[in-house]
Amino acid sequence: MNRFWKRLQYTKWFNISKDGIFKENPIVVAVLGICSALAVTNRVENAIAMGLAVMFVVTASSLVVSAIRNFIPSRVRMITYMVIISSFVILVQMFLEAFFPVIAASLGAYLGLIVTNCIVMGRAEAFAVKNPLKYTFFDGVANSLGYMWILIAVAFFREILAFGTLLNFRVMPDTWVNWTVMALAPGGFFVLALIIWGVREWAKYFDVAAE
Amino acid sequence: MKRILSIMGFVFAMGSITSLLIIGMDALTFERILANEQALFQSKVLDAFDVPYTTATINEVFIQNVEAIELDVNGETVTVYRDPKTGRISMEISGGGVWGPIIGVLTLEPDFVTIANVAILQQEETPGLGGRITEPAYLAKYIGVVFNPDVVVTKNIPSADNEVDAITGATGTSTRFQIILNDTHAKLFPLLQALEN
Amino acid sequence: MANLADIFITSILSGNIALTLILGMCPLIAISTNVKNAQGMGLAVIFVVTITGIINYPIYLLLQATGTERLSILVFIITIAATVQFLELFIEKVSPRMYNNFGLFLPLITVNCVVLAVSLFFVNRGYNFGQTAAFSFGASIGWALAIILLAAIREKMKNHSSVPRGLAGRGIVFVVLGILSLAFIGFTGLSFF
Repeated sequence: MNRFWKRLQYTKWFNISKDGIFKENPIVVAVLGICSALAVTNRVENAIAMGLAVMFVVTASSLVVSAIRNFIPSRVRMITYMVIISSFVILVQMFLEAFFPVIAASLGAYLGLIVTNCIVMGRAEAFAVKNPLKYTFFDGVANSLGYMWILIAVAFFREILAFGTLLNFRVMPDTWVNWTVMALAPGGFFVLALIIWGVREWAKYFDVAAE
Repeated sequence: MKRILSIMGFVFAMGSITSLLIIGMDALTFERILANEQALFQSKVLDAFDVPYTTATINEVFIQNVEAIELDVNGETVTVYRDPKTGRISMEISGGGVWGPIIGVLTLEPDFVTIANVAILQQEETPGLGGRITEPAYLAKYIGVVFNPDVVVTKNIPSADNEVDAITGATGTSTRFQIILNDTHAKLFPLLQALEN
Repeated sequence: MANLADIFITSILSGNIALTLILGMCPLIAISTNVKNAQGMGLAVIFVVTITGIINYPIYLLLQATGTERLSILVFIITIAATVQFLELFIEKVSPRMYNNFGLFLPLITVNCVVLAVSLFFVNRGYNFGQTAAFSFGASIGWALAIILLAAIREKMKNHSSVPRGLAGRGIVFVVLGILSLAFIGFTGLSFF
């Protein structure tokens, strides 16, 4: 068991996954994709839906970019990413509207904004365009898992404090007074700041160029 | 020259493939999306009429139990829905909220002035403040309120039969919702009365 | 419906696109280390957002007329990328001085979600042309205001505060943003008309 674990730690896909989820978490470390991390996280169900939508878009678009990486003329690279990403976003949007209309309504315009989520573009440019399909797949999944767990963590605190519920089930006593500020933008900023602090303290990752 | 041609060829190929993909998905989901929107509206009307239904049978139940009436409002056709048993009338209400449109269903008693039910189909108000407009507990406050001649959303404790409690901290949403309700009612009330006669 | 001045003022203050709708965070955080850069980026955003908002409106009407609204995201993104590219060339030719001030930030704007968000919001909110123009202009001014305020605060903080190491750098920015956001939400009760 121990030997297996040791060997696992040296495989490329294991390291890619670890980087995406913890060591180089897109939100905590790279501070990317913040817009959606805050805007839709006042309820846990929205966070999960957004996380899954981003996971699909990141993985699918990275795979496509990786598959055609030898054919993309470098001059039209960016616009190619954009077209691929927006097509997948439109697909997700239609899928949610057809099968989960309630979630599509609560995510609203933010669903379309996955196009400009820097994580998607970032993974295409930084990883997919240089790596073969199988690693790209792990990278896409790992990064979106890293994104998703932060989203759910933020939403967990915000939903409990702002609405006294968790996944729409009442968890706080009836005497609980809702902290409306948590449902608004400032609540999101404060909760995310605390989570970033916690994760960085735990991972011993600090901004080197601390101002 | 060859490079430019290959770039153009690439862009063209990519464009056609993605468009085909999207058009295909659109064809697959188009009817479902429409049906979803229709089912949401129908469910709110049936709720207001106290008619039981299941998600699978909603369309049949709606056609059997609800009578659609087309009204002519200055050349524009507005459809209202009547419950033949109780005489209640449901109509779609819509207008601008604080961030985006508010769309809902207003149901009136047979006297056309007393509110039997209000439901919200779509809104983008501030979560936790104006967003509370979708809470059943808040909407229940509208039941029994009378257009006399208007509905007033007040910050004080409601004292008259046409006053409703506003949402604390959401003045914008409250006043806009009041305008939406009154506009729709003012527009349709004379026609509903004419229908009665 | 709300009138133009109302939309304009709301989109700058109580409905600030950066601080209450939380959009355009990546560049907001990355480029707010000093006021000079923040000003450049802010100006570039005002330029691009206003222009693309106005261009995308007739395009959306065209898409609507042909029944292809589904493609709107794709088309908007392409218009934005094209506008940005064109503006970059144009400014470089016409005024190299202006180019030095904010031309460098133009390519970064394609991935700034504020630009796309403005186009998506006018669709969602069903604005007409005048309202779209007022909203695009107001929203971009609001974003520029936010980045300049943030940069000024960060510049001061650099010399006068000792931030816990886990929050140092970009972590503390969120706390600052949270406080700024509270202040901007305070404008909600404001009404001139």
